[in-house]
Amino acid sequence: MSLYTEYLAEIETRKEQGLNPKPIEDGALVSELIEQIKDLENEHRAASIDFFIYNTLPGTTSAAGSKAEFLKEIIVGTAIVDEIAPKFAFELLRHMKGGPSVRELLGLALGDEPKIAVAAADVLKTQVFLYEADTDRLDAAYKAGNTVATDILESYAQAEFFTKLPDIDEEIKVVTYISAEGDVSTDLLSPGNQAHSRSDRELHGKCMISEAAQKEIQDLQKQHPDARVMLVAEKGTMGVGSSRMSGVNNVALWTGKQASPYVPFVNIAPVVGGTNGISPIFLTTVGVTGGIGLDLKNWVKKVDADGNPIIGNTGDPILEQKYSVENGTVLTINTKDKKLLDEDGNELVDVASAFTPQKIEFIKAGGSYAIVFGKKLQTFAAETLGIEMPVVFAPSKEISHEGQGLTAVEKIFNKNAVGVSSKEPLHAGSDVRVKVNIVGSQDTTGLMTSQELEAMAATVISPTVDGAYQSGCHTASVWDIKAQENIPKLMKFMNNFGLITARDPRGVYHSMTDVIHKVLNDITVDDRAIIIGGDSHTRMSKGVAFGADSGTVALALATGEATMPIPESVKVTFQGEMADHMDFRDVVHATQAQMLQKFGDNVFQGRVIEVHIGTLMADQAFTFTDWSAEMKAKAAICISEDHTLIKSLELAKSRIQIMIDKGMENEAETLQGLIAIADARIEEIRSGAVPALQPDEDAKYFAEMVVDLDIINEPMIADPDVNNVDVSKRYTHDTIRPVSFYGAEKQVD
Amino acid sequence: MVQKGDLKIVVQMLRNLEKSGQEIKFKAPLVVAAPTYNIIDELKEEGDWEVLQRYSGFEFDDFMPKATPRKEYENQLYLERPGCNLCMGNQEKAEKGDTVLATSTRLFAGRVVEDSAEKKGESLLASTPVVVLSAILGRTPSMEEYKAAVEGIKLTKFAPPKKTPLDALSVHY
Repeated sequence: MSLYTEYLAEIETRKEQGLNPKPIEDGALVSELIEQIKDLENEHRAASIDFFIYNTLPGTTSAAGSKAEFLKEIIVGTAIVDEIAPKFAFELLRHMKGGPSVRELLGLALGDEPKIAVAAADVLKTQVFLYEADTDRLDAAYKAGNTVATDILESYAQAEFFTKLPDIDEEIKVVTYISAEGDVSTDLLSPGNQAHSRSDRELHGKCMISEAAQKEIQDLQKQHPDARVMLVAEKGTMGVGSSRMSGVNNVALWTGKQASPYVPFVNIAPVVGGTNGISPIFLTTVGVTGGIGLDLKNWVKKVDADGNPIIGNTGDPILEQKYSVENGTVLTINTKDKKLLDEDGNELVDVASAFTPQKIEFIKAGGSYAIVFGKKLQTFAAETLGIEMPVVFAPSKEISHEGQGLTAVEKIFNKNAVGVSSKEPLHAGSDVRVKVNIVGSQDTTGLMTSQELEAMAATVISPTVDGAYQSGCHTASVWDIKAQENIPKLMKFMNNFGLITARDPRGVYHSMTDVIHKVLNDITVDDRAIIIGGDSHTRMSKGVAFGADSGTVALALATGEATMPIPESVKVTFQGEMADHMDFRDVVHATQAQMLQKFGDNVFQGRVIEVHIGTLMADQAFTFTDWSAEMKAKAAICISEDHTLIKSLELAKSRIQIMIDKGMENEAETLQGLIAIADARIEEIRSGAVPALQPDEDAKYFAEMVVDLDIINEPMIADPDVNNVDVSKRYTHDTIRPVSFYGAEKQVD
Repeated sequence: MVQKGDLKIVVQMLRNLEKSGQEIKFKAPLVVAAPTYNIIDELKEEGDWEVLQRYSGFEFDDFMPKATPRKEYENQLYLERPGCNLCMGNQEKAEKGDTVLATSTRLFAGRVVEDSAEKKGESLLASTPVVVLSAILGRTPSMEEYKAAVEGIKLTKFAPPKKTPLDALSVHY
């Protein structure tokens, strides 16, 4: 039993690091466990049963396959294990959520043993991660007159997998813990240089914030056993920076609850808060884990008698504290009234935005995936049965303003929308399901994306995606043991899934560490494309691109769709002339500085920057859209002129051709398909049939600004201001200074 | 490096210095990474890559990639593989406590450079010419030094689109 012996040895090593036995993903090891379970005299039998029940990873890991198969054998009586009765075996399958477990359950439900079929059907009615292979089976059985299949479909059509779940708690008691003052980046929750350990959730959890913080959190939990710890960004925004899902996974690991007693180290339902709210991408990951994200507003600008902010000595508005969230403060969230209350029941702030109908659904279902897949399953079942689908899920908000024009991003969303009931075009604020054209994955978040795909039991890229790329740019500099262990595995997984990969699993073309954004910029061949990428700098200069957490990326790959509200836009145009000695990067920094000067607050935050830089080709325009991440914008979209766009598309075509020449094309001929799309678009523009995307004259923007190029006459430097007396002002990306500020004296190392 | 034009700027600055007869020495390490291999191929064809090679103390080798992260730096030009590493603080960081000037976009605490016991690390972000000049001078440049260094160099330029004619009946010949 060699794998098992190795596993025992690994357990000892991990004990020294203060870690539990590693969750099992290898089917071969599970097979050994099963042999030891069947052997009644085996010395490792008790431990094997334990590992089998509690320490095996579900989803599409090979371990899940072996586990599901053995559970089926127990159910049909081929194998008898005293400790795992058939009823318990069904329960274990129910917790495995998808892939092999659903396959086995379907086999049992559509099989010849009536009693077993009914029991299996009962479990299937709680499942949502069904893919084409599974729904095809149900469809065929139903058409053949199988009554169990009919029963299951009727349950799906009513969305009982959702309606039968308990409602969310009306009152949630929380106790606060300040993770840091100022903006809290996902780097603090999950440091970038610990990326290699992300798939080992327990190990990775050890790097959240600090050991001292972890102990303090545990102490708070002991002192307040009936409250959930809420992680807070005091005077800042929670979760800025990278899109890594490992950030929220770590928070859930320390402050949330276990998703299932039979799935190791996967926690859900974290509660987080920020004085200035939650960063958009991080908020999405909170939704994925069925958590709660609160905009605390516990510090507000002090205003004078006329309601104007009072400016202090530093030139910034003075803040006054409305209520305290210092460590150990006990608060109550009332989810029905949507308010945050203090210990005595006084209202502190309205938190309705955290409990929209959609967000409540995510919390109820334990995560947003279950809702996404649930909706698709309900649609399928109703269509198969030929009945009208009952309205179960909160209807998507659809907002239309008659007579109002559309911004560029509104046009793109309307073009790509799926399943919309309104006949009028939709405006900002509407929730839409949209088709995604391009998906990008890089090599540190990619590992988590592959985990999410496994958890969703997905095996192949959605046929509606135009193209997807997996890069190797984050492990370019150092090819150490961790990279050698993880990256080829990742590339093989993604290549099999249907993505173009930087590294050839067959070892034929030379591995390239090309920066993901450059490649995504090159493979975006339509100015009306929607791009989703697993990196916060997914900000292409053609189409509209959104950086997203690995879950959203996984959903985009598996379903070809994304769901999000149409963002508001801020229009940015330019006047004047660039001085000869200025570089475009200076214009980008100056835009931020001028915006902050004009508006006082960051109006870009959470919105789309519609930047009219029509004469710049996509490569150079990217310097602007790239920085929109630092502007905390939701996305950026370049409004291009016809001939510039054609040139950008021609350049993209030539770069895609180079990829084909290098041998990167896959069986589905994805790259050739992209060239065809580029050609079609170029023709549309040339002929005048569909010119380059422009917003309507009468579109409505949240704000508009004109950047004055004439006043930019010095290089502009973004300074982290590490010694600012006000801690919350450090590391913001908002402190932009001209180079003369440093008087040619600042030493650079 | 954000786009090919930025690399060409580095090369032009080096060529400018060559012309002036000045010896090209770096008072601070300058790490240069191209965005993609395509761009490196194009630069090789255009004769620019060898200028970078001429002044670099390290050039990446795909057949013998580094197995450990770089922790200390010499005052020289490093030609690194395309990728998002030192620029984003992924696998490598600057020396602790350093003041870094970079063309990338992240300046969070500890991201590109960590604190040392004596001094906080800080990464300031700027355009390509400012970063290169600062590496040569070992400090931020004065406006005169900056203007002299970019004299005659094609920086990334942008001219806003002309306003559309108000007359909707204008005809194109």
